[in-house]
Amino acid sequence: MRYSIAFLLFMLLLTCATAPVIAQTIKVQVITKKIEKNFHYKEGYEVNIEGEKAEVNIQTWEKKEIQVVMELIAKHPDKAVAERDLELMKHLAQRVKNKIYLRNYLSSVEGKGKSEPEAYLSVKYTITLPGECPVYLKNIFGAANISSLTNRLRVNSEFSRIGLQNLKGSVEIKTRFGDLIGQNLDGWFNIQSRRSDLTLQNISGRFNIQAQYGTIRLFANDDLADLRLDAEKSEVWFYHPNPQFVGYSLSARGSEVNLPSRIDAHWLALDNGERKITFSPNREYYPKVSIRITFGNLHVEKRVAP
Amino acid sequence: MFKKQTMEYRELNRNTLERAIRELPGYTPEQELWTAIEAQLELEAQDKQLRIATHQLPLYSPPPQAWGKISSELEQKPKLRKLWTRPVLAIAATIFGVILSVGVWLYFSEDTGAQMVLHTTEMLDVTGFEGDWDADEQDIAMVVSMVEKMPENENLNSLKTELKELNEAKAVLTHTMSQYGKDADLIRRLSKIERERSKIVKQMAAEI
Repeated sequence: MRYSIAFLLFMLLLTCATAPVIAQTIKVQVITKKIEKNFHYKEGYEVNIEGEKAEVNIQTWEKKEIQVVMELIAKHPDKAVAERDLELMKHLAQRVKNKIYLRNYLSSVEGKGKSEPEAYLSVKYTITLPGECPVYLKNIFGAANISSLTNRLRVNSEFSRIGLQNLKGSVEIKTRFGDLIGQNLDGWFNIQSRRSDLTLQNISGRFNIQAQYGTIRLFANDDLADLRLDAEKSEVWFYHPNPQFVGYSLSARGSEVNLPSRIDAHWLALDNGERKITFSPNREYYPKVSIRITFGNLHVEKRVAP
Repeated sequence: MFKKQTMEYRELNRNTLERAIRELPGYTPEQELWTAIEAQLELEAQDKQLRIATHQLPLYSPPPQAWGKISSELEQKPKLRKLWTRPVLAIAATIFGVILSVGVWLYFSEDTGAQMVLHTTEMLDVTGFEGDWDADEQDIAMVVSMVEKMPENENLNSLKTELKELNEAKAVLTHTMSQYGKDADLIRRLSKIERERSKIVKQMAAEI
């Protein structure tokens, strides 16, 4: 017994010693250019952001002022290389009429014998503004955390993670190759998603979602008024606190659909291979959920309070 | 034709000139330029709309009594009186006006922004950053070339379209990596695309 334990320990040690992945850590010089700028806010103004490899944080405050903090960051073991490549990152923070433009981009490397930048480059925006200020954000290869806006938000994002929290008003999101994670969303939401995963917690109001190639998890609360979802080649989970009190209009083609047993309705098979089901609860007012699923799976389940 | 020949004759060191032109550095316009152009175009569009709207306004001629009333009012000379009887008050009012103007200007003017450069050091984990994502490109290309020779069908066309989209996404991602450097998030996104590409290629191979 004693020998077998010793043998096991020896084997464990051998496995650890020959682990194929060896951690590589390097010391880098971090050069950060920090830009701070404030703008007075007037009704009708819009903040217009175009970020590239940027982490964009948008938060609100009571002041009638828009505060912008931009950090352009370059990391490299050699300080001179980090400083040189930092200069390739350009930025813009400027008001033109009623639009406040915030941009970052990489200027092209000019001249002979120059190659791509060698440093690790990234950008961070921290924007604090009144909740009623409309925002347009275009971001590629980055991340966005947006909270507490109440008026109008438009996001066009690729290869990025978008986090939304406590939003109201009109929201339009376009995402490709990204992730959308939201919490406490109430308003008119229009989402177009391709090859992106969506997880939206505690949603109410009206939602119109078009999705292709994604995993979609929607956790509604009792105040959800209307949901229209057109999902293609996607895996969809719809959770509601009382799924039996929701009116459904579902259509499925080449897909599996799992409904709670308390929903008593029968499928109607059409000639084109589509199946349809409609169900209205015996109530005067109820949320309307309309889902079309093509070559995917749909699961409707009761939402258990967290 | 004649003009061209004349120009060629006059240029003694044409090759040197052409080489010098080729070696001139290229410049891209600053981003601010586009913003300014965008604003100018918007302003012009608004002006145009306003001009069109002005032409569409109805015309009304005033009643004849209005002109009579205006001319009688013009005949009555206005009485002028001195605003500041004491010079001290006038000076005080001027100073007050200047201070007020400066205050209003300071309040409404936008700050030019503060800028600073910071230097720190940190340890960066670059484990697994050396990419092997192009290792199987040859095999993928072989499957695609075999599929290309097959008769077309709906499923194959759909797989080809998907692979094209994923190939483009991979190209954009790897280009960004060469510009901004690799990081864990970009590698994670690329890994996801590679997994999806693998699925498509496997489905294509099954069709062969």
